[in-house]
Parts: sequence; C-alpha cells; structure tokens
Amino acid sequence: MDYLNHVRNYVAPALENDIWTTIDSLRKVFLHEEPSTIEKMYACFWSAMSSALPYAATVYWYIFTTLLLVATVGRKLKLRRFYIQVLDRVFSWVAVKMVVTANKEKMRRRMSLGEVDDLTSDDDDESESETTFYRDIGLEKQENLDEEVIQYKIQAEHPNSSQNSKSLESSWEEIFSEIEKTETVAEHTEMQKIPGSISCENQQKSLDGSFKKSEELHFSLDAPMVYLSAGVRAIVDNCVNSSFSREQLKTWNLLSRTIVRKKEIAKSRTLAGFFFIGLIIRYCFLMPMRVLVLILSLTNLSLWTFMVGRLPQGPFKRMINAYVVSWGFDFVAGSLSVVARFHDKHNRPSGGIAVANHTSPIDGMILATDNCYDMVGQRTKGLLGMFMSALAKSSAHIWFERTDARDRQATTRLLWEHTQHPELPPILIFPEGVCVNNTAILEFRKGAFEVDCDIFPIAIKFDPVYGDAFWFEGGFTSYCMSMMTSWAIVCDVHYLPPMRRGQDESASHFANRVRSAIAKKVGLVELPWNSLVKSSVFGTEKWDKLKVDRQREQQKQFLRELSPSQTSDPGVFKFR
Amino acid sequence: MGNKHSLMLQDSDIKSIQADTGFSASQIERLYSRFTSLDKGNSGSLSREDFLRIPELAINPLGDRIVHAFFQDNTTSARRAPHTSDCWVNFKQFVRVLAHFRPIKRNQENKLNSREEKLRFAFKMYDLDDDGSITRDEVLAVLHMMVGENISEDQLISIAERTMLEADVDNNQMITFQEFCTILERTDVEQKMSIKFLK
Repeated sequence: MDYLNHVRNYVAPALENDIWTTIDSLRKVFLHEEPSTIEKMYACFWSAMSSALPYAATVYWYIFTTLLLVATVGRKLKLRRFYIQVLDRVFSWVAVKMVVTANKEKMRRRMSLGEVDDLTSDDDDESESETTFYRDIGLEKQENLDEEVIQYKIQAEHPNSSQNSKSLESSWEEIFSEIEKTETVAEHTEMQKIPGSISCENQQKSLDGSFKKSEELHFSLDAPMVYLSAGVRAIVDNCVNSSFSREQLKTWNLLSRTIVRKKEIAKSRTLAGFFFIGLIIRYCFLMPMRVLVLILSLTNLSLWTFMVGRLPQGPFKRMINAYVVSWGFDFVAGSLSVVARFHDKHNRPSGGIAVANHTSPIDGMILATDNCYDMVGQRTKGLLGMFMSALAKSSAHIWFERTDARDRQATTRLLWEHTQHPELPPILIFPEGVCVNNTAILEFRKGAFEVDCDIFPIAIKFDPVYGDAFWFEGGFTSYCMSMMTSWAIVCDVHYLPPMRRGQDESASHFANRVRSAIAKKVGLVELPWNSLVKSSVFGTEKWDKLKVDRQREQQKQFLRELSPSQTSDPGVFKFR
Repeated sequence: MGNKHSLMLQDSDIKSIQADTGFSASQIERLYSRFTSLDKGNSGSLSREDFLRIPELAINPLGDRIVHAFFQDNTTSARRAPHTSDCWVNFKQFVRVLAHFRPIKRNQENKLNSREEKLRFAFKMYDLDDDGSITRDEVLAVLHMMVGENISEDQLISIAERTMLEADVDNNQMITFQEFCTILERTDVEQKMSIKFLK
C-alpha cells in the first residue's frame, strides 16, 4: 500500500487538476467503494500526460524551428556539414558495435556447444565469411576471438595495407579521423569491391579469356562449358540487375530499409535503441520539417522564376536568372538536406554542353545550386511537370517529348542553335537517358555529342550511407517520401576539363571517350549496355532487337575461337 | 539487396537445403534474396520468362538450354510427385541446379557437385530429348545454337560428324554418358563447370 502513499504524497500534489481526488470522490459517490489498483495507475498516468503535454509541445516547437533555420540559412553557416560529421561518428560507432555483438554471439555459441555449429562448412568457409562480413561493414578483423581486446583496423587505406591498427578502446575522434583520410575516390571504390566476386568489368572478359586459354583447336564436346558457367553465373548475380538496385552499404546507417544482418541488431539492445531513436527523429522531426520547407521553397522558386520571366530578354535578365535560380534551388535542396561538395571549380562549365551521369531526378537541381544551366529533358506530368513549366519561363530550357520523332529532330536543332550563343548558360544533358544506381554507367546516347562544341563532363558520386537517392520504382511522391525520411543526401561533384570531338572522330567514339573519363574519375563500372536494357530488367519488351544483335556477336566470338590452327595435325578440323 | 523476404525462409528449410546441396546457411540466404528479386510476380516461383529477363542470360547462345535444365528437374520429380508443374521452379529446385556448379572441395562430401554430376549436367545440355544419349542431330542442333548463321550448313554437318566419330567408340550412332565421360577425361571439368558463390 505504500505506493498509494507515494502517489498521494508526491505525484498528486504536482498535478494541476487533482484527478485523483476527483475520481476518488466520484467513485465514492456513485459506487460506494474504493477504486482498484489499475484504475489508480491509469489516473496517475493520464494526469501526468495531460500536464506534461504543453511542455512536450513547446519542446517540439523549439526543435522544429531550429531545424527549419538550419535548413534555410544552414548553407552559409555550414551547419549541414556539421550534421554530416555527427552522423559519421554515429555510423562508425554502429559499425564497431555490430562486430562486437557478432563476436560475442560466436564466442557464446562456441562455449555452449563446444564445436562449430555449422557442420557442412569447413574452416575456410568460416573465416572467409567472417572476413567478407567485416569487409562488408568497412572494418578488418585482425585478431582471433580468444583475446579479451579485439583489435580492429579501419580500412582507411588500401585493403591490404597493414597500417592504422586501432584498439577498441581508442577514442571516436581517432577512428573518425581515419575515415576522414579516405578523400581519394579511387581508394573508396577499392573498398566497395567485394573481393572474390567477378566484378562487372571482368564478367565479359572472363568469358573471352577462358576461350583464349583453351588448348582445344577443334570443336570438342566441352567447348560449350564456358557458356554454361557464364550463364549460371549470370543467374546467380548479373551486373545489369545489380546496377539497377539499391547500392549495398559498407556500414549500417540505422535505417530499416538497409538492414542486411538482422541478428546482430536484434541481439544488441543498444543498437535497437539507437534504431528506434533514429526512427523517431526521422519521422517526427525531420520529415515534417522537410515537407514544410519543400512547400515553401517550391512556391518561392515558382514566384521568383515567374517574376524573372516577366523581365525583357537581355544580359540583365540572365544575370538575375542565374542568381535567383541557384539560390532558389539551394533552398529546395535544403528540404532534402543535400550536402554537395564541388571539386575542381576552375573547370566549371560556361557555354557549350555539360554532360553528367544520371542517378536521380534531383541531379539537375544539385548541379544547379553551383552554376546556372539550361536543362534539356522529357516533359512529365504531376509535381515535376509543374516545376518544369515554371522554370521554362525564366530561361531558355528545352523540354521535349521523347516518343515524338519530329520533336527529337527539332530538339537537336534547338541544341545546336543554343550552342551558337556563348553568352547563354551551358546546357545540361544526361546522356544515359535513365537513372542508374551510381555504381555503373551505361552507354551514352550520341545525340548530344553530334553538336560541335565544348563538352564539359561532370561526374557525380553519391554517398549512399546517408540516404540513397537512386530512383527505380514507385512514383515520384513515394520517392520524395523515402528521401525525406533518410538522414541526408550527400554527393561529390567533380568538374572535368572540357573535351571536344576530334576531326575524324565519330559521335559514338567521342561519347565513349567522355564516358570513360567520367567513369574513371569516380570509379564507375562501364557497362556495355545502353538504356534499353533497363526495360528488360523491369519487364517491358522493348529490347528484342538488341538481344538478337548481341547473340550474334557472341556466336561470332565462338566461331573465331574455333578458327584454324597453325599445325597440320590430322586430328584438327580446319574450316574456311 | 532488400531483405524483406528472408523471413519466409524457415530455418528447417535452410537446414534441409544445406544437407541436400552443401551450401552454407549464408549462401542459401543470399541465393534466396536473389531468387526473390528475380521473382517479379511475387509468386514464390520462377517461370522461364523470369530467367530470360536477365540480359546476360538472354544473349547467351545456350541460354535456353540452361533454363531448360531448371525445368527438366521438375519433369523427373513430377513422375514422383504429380503436383509439381514443369512451368515453375521453386526455391529448392533452383538451389539444387545451382549446386552442380559449386566448386569441388577436397575434404568435403560432394553430392551434387562431384565431377560426375558436373559432366552429367553438360551431357544433358546436348541431350535435347532427354533419352540418355546424344545423336548426331542433337550435336548439330547445339552447334547451331552456338555458331548461328556464321557457318554454312555443310560445314556444320561435317563438324558434327567428326565429333561423333571421335566420341562414339562402339559405333552405335549415339554417344552414351560413358563415352562422353571417356572423351572428356583430360578436361578440367572442375574448373570449367564451377563458379564462385559469395557468402
């Protein structure tokens, strides 16, 4: 009964309206009996909540307005970058925690069972799977499990380097500074490749390569075996499908959509706790704030572009347009917490055509926060379409309808005319035509490369751990929702020096040259497919002719490998 | 890749597949994730179209034969269990066929990925009517698939006949599995018919 006294002495006096006495008196009046235990607890809870609610609402309001300020003026004060740094620390802590949990589980299992659980996997499998796991999460285990202190080294350098070992007790600053060292993009991509798999660049080569090693010079019954293996390998994992699905992360980023290893998360209460805190932060604070900022910023942008559109044509209008549009886009980008780092700004495009790799619908917007472009794109309906028509009034954007053949020719002519005026802003084109997931780059369409002018390649690389911007399914609104409930959108934009088509160079050769330059800069795999292949992955039937052509190429390749030998061995069959 | 479907794969299923094929638990989970991503209709099974939607497989000259291998297993098991159809492949059948391509490990028991099983898989590639022997016409048909229209019909026939002469030791106009194995004695089947499965 002492809890009752506790309630009476401490909680009840703190209440503004004395529900306890009210209920008590009501009961006594109507039922002539004492209220039960459960009812008393309910009464306490309800009164506590109702009195605390105004305070909670105030706190929420303060946090909300702070976030709003960060989103709007945050760029100048570099508040967004600070936010990213905080996130970095949280993720590195999560990564280490997951490994610790996994190891604890393993030790517990071994001690309780006295032998390895998994009867069919031998030692090679076990250690290999461990190293893959650690590599997956960006760390590399260095010690065996029997030691108390497990040492880790962060893969800040090349995976095979033996420097930078840190003990588990080292401070988070040291770990964080190691991650900071990975500025070079080339090292980044080295970490992303899972060793032992056939990387996409080599998938095609391995098919050809094994033929060349073969000593059979006539058709023997084992000649098809290489094709069989290649086919089954494609069934198990193929480059095209993996280029159109979400990129795999190196560390877990506290989002439910990127959970790969559920067991470690379920077993560690701290991790689960962090996950739920993150969930609340994202859905209750970040998302409503972002929706509000988006509405504000879009109306703001439409208003300004409308006003600029009313100005008479001339250099003044262009200057105002450049300034207004880039500020307006930055405001919109704030609604998604976009942090874009621009490199090599001396190569910033001016006039001519700028080409970039395509990952998301907001690519153009991100690029436009640093420089003013005239966009070329497909006319769409809905939210995006309204936006496009608002922009079209203030500058010479080119919108077209892809299915209309006449429109395509008109577009090429418009492009050419645009490039004849060097004072106009550069045109921004995404020659791939479809969104790819930022690990690979498709073949470019040659339309933009037929025009004889300076081409400025731009390479965009997103960091998916803060939020994946790749759009491959669902409508635009669900895409917006998923981006708004991520942490942030972080990307690196590299401006490459301008290129020009050679005298005798064909447009497709030039397009491949530009593509290689972009791919090498940010470490993308160059796929030997064009955008039609996306329709094959997602179910439509547009690519039959391409399929037949490619099959013929493979058949010719096989034929070449059966070609006549140099010896006059009667066992060898020669044919013309 | 997304992981929503791994909830549908029970531990008991994983254990039975492990015992059957020799894959480790994490490999099976990874294959299941792949299986569900190929299964566009979310029906829990794959059709021929699902396989041929993979671009690299669709342009493979032997793509159709490889896909047929998955469904061929069905027809044999259909004689035992009539409710399995030959238009769909479920996950167990999917993994069974893939198990043939597991690398051979020396200190492990290899059931589906032994040298003989791998050779049997290659044999079934040629054996179009599944009667247990390869005729000259079947060799010709496979040559057609692999070479296409880049050679004349006569040259193809000569190649096919040459191959039959070499392989058919007892001259009964067809190659049995034994003769097939004999002629491929010196081939490194382990290396050619194995692929690396990620954990």
